[in-house]
Parts: sequence; C-alpha cells; structure tokens
Amino acid sequence: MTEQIVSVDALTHRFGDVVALRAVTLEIAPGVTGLVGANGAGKTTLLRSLLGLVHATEGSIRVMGHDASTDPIAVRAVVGYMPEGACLPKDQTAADFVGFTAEMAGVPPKDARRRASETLFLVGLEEERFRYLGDFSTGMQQRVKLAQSIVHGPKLVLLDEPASGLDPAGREQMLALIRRLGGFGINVIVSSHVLSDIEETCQSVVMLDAGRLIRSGPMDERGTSKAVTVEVVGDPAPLAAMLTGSGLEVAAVGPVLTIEAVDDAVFDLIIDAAASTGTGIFRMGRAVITLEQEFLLQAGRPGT
Amino acid sequence: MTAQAVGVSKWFGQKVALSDVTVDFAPGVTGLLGPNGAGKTTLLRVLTGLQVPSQGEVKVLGVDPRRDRSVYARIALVPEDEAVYPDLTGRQFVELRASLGRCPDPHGAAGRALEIVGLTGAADRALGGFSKGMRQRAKVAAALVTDPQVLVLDEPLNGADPLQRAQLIDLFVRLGSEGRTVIVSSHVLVEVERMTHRVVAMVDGRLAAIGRIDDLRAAMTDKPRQVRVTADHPRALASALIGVEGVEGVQLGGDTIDVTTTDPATLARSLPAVARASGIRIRAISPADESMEQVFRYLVESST
Amino acid sequence: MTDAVIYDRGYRAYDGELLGRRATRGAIAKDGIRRILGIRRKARRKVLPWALLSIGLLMAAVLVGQLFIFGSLAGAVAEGLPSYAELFDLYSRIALLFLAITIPELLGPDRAQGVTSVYFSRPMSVADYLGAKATAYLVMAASIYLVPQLAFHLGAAALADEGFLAHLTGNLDVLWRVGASALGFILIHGGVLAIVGAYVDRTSFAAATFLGVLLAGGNLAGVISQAPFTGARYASLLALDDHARYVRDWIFDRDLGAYWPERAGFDPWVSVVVIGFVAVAGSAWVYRRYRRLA
Repeated sequence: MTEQIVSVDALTHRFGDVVALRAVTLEIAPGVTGLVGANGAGKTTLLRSLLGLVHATEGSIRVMGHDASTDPIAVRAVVGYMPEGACLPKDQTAADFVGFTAEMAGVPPKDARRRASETLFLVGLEEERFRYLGDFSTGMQQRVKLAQSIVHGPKLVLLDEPASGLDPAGREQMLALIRRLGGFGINVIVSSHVLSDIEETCQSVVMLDAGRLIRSGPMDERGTSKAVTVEVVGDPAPLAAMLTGSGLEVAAVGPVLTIEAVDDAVFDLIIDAAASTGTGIFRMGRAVITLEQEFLLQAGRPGT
Repeated sequence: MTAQAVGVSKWFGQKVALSDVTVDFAPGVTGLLGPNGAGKTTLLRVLTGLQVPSQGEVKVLGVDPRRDRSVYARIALVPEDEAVYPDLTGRQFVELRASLGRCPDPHGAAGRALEIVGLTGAADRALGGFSKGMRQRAKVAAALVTDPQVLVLDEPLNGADPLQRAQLIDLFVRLGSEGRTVIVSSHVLVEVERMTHRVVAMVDGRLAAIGRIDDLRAAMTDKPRQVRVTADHPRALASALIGVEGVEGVQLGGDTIDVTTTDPATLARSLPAVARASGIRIRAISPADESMEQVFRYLVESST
Repeated sequence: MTDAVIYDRGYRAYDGELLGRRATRGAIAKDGIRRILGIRRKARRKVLPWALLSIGLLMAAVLVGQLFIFGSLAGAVAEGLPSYAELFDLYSRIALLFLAITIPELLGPDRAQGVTSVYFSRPMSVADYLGAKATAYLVMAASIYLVPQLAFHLGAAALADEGFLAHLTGNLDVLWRVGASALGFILIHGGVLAIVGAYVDRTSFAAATFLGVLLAGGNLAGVISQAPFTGARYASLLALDDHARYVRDWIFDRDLGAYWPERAGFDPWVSVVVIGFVAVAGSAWVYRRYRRLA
C-alpha cells in the first residue's frame, strides 16, 4: 500500500464568522491530483493548509509525512508552490531569482545555481534566463514560477492555475510539463477552474463545495454512462430504424444518435447495422460524463 | 448588423500590431483566436472605437464609431484588464454605466444585468473586495446593461469558477442567438468551441483564417485526417484497413490504432464493413484532430 | 557490447541536503544587501547607493587631507578643525539619505510585486524573513556610518605625530564612541523606517514619508515643545532624530548643537530610552503587520 502523500482528518478552518473548511477528511494518493471548487469553496484555504500557512481550528493535516500544524516549516522544505498571479521581482534575472529561491529553501549556494539552471532548462527557458524578469511575457513568467517551485527538489508541488494567461500553445506546453513532472515521480496537486485541463493531466481529483468535500478519488471512478453516442455521416434515419428494430432505445438529435446500452454487445449491433445500411460512422463511443458535468451536478446545479 | 474592419492597420511607434486586416463579424457568436501578441486586443479596441486605426476603416452598425459617437450606446466592450473603482459597489458601477449609456431606468437595468451574471447577492459590496471572477462578471453586467447590439469580450471567463464559466458560456450563446453580434476572445479553446463554431484567427497582426472550424479543417487538404479506433484486435483491424481507399497509414498503440486518411468519408463507411467482415469488435471511433484546438494549432504552424 | 553510453538528460532529482533556517536567513540577507547596492541588478540601480557611499568616503578623504596640511590630528584640532564627532555630523545627512532610499527597497517591492507569496512558501517563519531583512539593514547602516569614520581614523593614525600604531592603540575610546553613536542613529532611524516600509509600497514615497516624519515632524514637535502650556516639553520626545544626536554629543562629550530634548530639559539617558523604545516598538509593530499578511 503506497504511502498517501496527504492525509486530512476532520479539518475545519474557522476565521471569525467564516467557515472556510468544514470537517474535511480525505487522502491524496501519489501522482497528479486536481483540486476543483467554486470560488470561495475553500480551495485556497486548503492549499494554504497544505503549506502549513494557516492553523486549523480543528482536525489535522499531514503532508509528506509531516504534521502541518506542529511542523509547518518541515512541510515547506519538501513542498513546492507555484502561486497564481504576479509574484516575480522585476529587477532580477530569472537565473538569479530561481537560484535565490533555491537558497531560501536551504539548497547550498553552489548547488542552488546548478539546480536553477537545470530547472529553467527543463521548463524551456534557455538564453532568456539571463534576462530581467520585468521583460518576460506571461508565458515565460509562468515557466519561471514553475521552475522555482521545483528547484529545491520537493516531492510535492502545488500549482495554482498554472495555465492562467497562457495562449493555446503555451497551455498545451504547460499541461505537458505537468504530466512530465508526474512522470518524474514528483507528486502534483493542480488547482484550476478549467476542468478540461484537470481531466487531461490528473489521475485523481478532489472536489470542494462551500467548504465541504464532495469527492476525492481517482478520476475514473466517475461512472461512465450507460449510453453510447454515434455520430454518422449523412442520413442517420436508416441506421436509427435498424437499431430500433433490434430492440434498442435510440434517440436522435441531428446526426448524433444516443443508444441505451446494457452491455458491450451493443457495439457489434451498431457496427453491423451501419455496415448493412452503408452508413458511415464519424464518431462512436460511450458517452462520458465529463468532469465538468459531474462537478456541476454535484455542486447542485444542472449540468449542460 | 455587423462589425467590420477594412484594410485596418495599427502601429505603435515601430511595433505593427495590426497589418491590413479586413474582417466582417456577423450576428451570432464568433471566436477571436490567436497567440499572445497576435493583435487581438488591438483589433477589439479598434472595432469598438477606443483606438484609431493607423490605416483603413472601421464600421460598426454602419457607422464609424469615432465619427458617430451615438453608436457607443449599442456597443459594449469587456476588456481583459481594467482597473475598476475600488470604492464603488458592484451595483453603483453598473448603474453608472447605465446612466452613461443613457438608459431610461438605470437602477432597474442594473438589477437585471446583475441578475443575469449572478451577482445580485454581492452587488452591494465594494468592488475592491471582489475576486477576479466577480470583477469580471461585474464588467460583463456593466456591458450588458445598455442592451448592446455588439458585445465584445476579451477573456471574459478569466478568474471565473467552473459554475460561473458554464453560466457565462450559456449566456453568450443565448445573446448570440438573440441576433446580437458577440465577439469572444479567449485562449481556452475548449470553451470557445462550446459557444460557437465560427472563428477568426490571427497571428502576428495578420489574419490567419476566417470561417467555421469544420470547413477550415476540410480546407486543410495537405493535412490528412487522423482517426483513433479502439478495437479488440487492433493489429488485425489495422491490417484490414490498409486496404481501404484513402488510408495513408495506420499506427499501432496498445488497444487503439491511429488511422491517417485523406478521405474521411470513405473511412467512415469502410470501418463498419471491414470490422464486420473481420469479426473484430470496435468500441470507439474518435477523430483526433477536428477540435478547435487542433485546427488552431495547424493554423498557427502553417502561418509561421 | 560497445563502450558507448547515452546519458539520460531528463530531470535529475535533487537529493542533496537542505541547510536549515540559518541558511535561509543568510540568503535573504545577502539578497537584501545586493538589492540595496544594485548588485546583480540593472546598472542604473547602482548609481545612487554607490554615489552616496562615495560621498561619505570623499568627506573622510577631504578631512584627512586637511589633517595633512596641519600635520596631524592634534594639530588640526587645535586649529578648530573637525574631528570624529564633527565628521559624523557632516555626513550623517548623507547616511540618512542613503538609508531612507534603500531600506524601503527591502520591504516594499516584495509586497508590491507579490513576491511575498514565494518567500512564505519557503521553509521559514515571518520572524526569519524580517530578521534577515533587518540584518541586511544593519550591515548597510553600519557600513555607511562606520566606513568613512574608519577611513578617517586610519588616515589620522597615518599622520599622527606619535606613529601609526601608537595612535591607534592610544585612541581606542574613539572606536566605541563612534560605534555607540552610530548605533543610536541606526536604531532610531531603523525603527521608523521599518514602520514606514511596512506600509508604503513605493520606495520613493516611503523615503519621502520617512524623511518628512523624521525631520519636519521632529522640528514641529520641537517647536511645540517650546510652547508655554504644561506638558509641552514632552513633545520634544517626538523629535526622534534629535535624540540620536543628543546621545552622540553626550558620548563624545561635545556640544555641537542645541537639540529639542535638551532644550526641553531632558537628560541624555532619556533619549537613550526613547531610542531603544522606538527600535523595539517598531520591530514589534512590523512583525505583527507581517504576521497578518503572510
């Protein structure tokens, strides 16, 4: 049984009248985990708790084997953090700043310089690292923020909206980098509002709503729907008719058929019917409940 | 009712932000896509009359917005970054816009606009305390309050949580279906795809493409289509598919195969026939590069 | 088979040791000093600090030059020329300007640019952060107050009638006097600067606010202290800069001016207490503020 990287037990955080977290209990397994929730759902408080920056009103939280309440500094030595928003000094070079953050984490100065160089290279910054951060574009800044979060070799990094402000190419590269980190054995927790990003990069997900935990576990645990969707080329009527004739429930919206399926045999029926009617199939597959649909359902509103 | 740029160029000193751009935005939702620095924001500002083109003409609803200021009442821009007055409440901010836009009932209009974006509860709090997502929605409300015919939005979902994103997407779709001209610039293409299939793509200040995504994809004849098929006996299926007209190649990968073809329609019809003939069960068929993200990537690649 | 090797240049995990909080504080302090002096920053940031430092040294050099003309320190003093205390007075305004401009640099930009979120994600406490910044300040303040004095001392020793070493060993008391006087200035200026720097983000505004509070505010307090109503004399306690100068005069047993607390009838040790209080209270106030920010 692999050691869980984060264990939260009945964590409650109260600040005056505001209850940011209510008795949250969860475990986070090694790998890349997504953290999702509405604004004000407690995500920020949870992230800060993971860094040992806020004190729990009740309950406990263990991160990478350390108790975040009693030993917050030990936690921050093995955890990295990529903040959302602007957080880089304009008057330092990337190499200098990342080296500095490494030294601040306790990396010896010579190693710090070397590590800074390696991590900047890893995130795709080469000659640019000797330029001043004030001249960097958003995409470059996001990379530097990622580099400083891993420069001290933490086993867990917390990324807060890592793709924010990036253009499509930049987003793709950033998500690929995150997957790569997972491949290097670095545990990652990604907080993002763009649920399709979470779906692409994470193996597990933690969902919060109004301070409560809605779900925590592997991404695949979401039920797949029992339906199969088929998008045809041309007229769907012959195919729909044939399938209905075979006793299947078929709903048609334009070129898309939705077929209620009990077991995998339905695929054979569909293919057979398509071959018989000469209908081209553009797309076929089990209707997947997207993370977004699940989230919207759970958060109490109808999904799209 | 359209927003139109004819031969528009715009430079700031040496930097040419827009180079000979001619584009016409029809009613409905259109996505404006492009890498950072492509000139999207400049184009939006020129269209809404906030910036004068160095060359060329702009016509919105038939008039040049800089000559006939009355058209401002029917245009609204939600910019990406804008300082808001931190001491005004949300309601005051929206009402102010309503009065400036000469609404007959600023208070009522503001209330309705705030309701549409879901800010009624927080409306009487100061903007300074709003989160990024809330500020963004306040700006959308301020834009809607004058009931504009042309609505221009620059990264409107920035900072919004998943629920707010879904609501705003629905809102824009609805506004588009009401016949308004809605132009949305966003980097999260998965979301733009849910609002519209029509895009205008820009790279380096010039137009890269205009049209519906599927038409653009079809026009890329130099790029064969890729279709991923999940089957129980992938290798056998691959072998059979090589014989199909238009198939240029098949790549094996675990339980899936990636089929490259210059004739997607023929492949769509052949798949069921081939599968039935070989007795291989197919579980999923999914086109790999039809998405807005993929098409956009091809566009940018071919432009550089 | 062959001796060829292909290395995997992918990510190499860092398994090295992590030094503790002392290393963290040291890194922040060193970065603070570099920031003040403009080291590893754009060239234009070096201009002001180094220019001010040079002026201080220049003043010392000029005085040594004057000594040279008069043959020795003893000879010069006999002619009424400035010695240590006066030198101190001369460039204390330069020192004030230097520290006013550079100290807010340590605190303000970190907040304004949001870098605090990076700092506090590191294994350290708010006390570590502020302590390290304070260390940078103290090093810089000590440098600007003491280096010109040291230069002057060495110059005077070189020209002394009784010989270099004899002059040095015979004037050890100068060292503690200079040191103690400098400490007075460093502490009281530091206390006020810390408070200003903890609230004002922009360096130039912070410097201006500091100078305003210290000098104009101090003079205003002093003027009020001379008013005829009862208890007015206590206003002189707010003439913060004057406390440090009053104490310096006391240490050097000279009388280089009339200071508001002196004129209001307070003894020098009261000034010592005020200096200590401002330093401690300022630090505590800043700590509390940062605890809430982190």
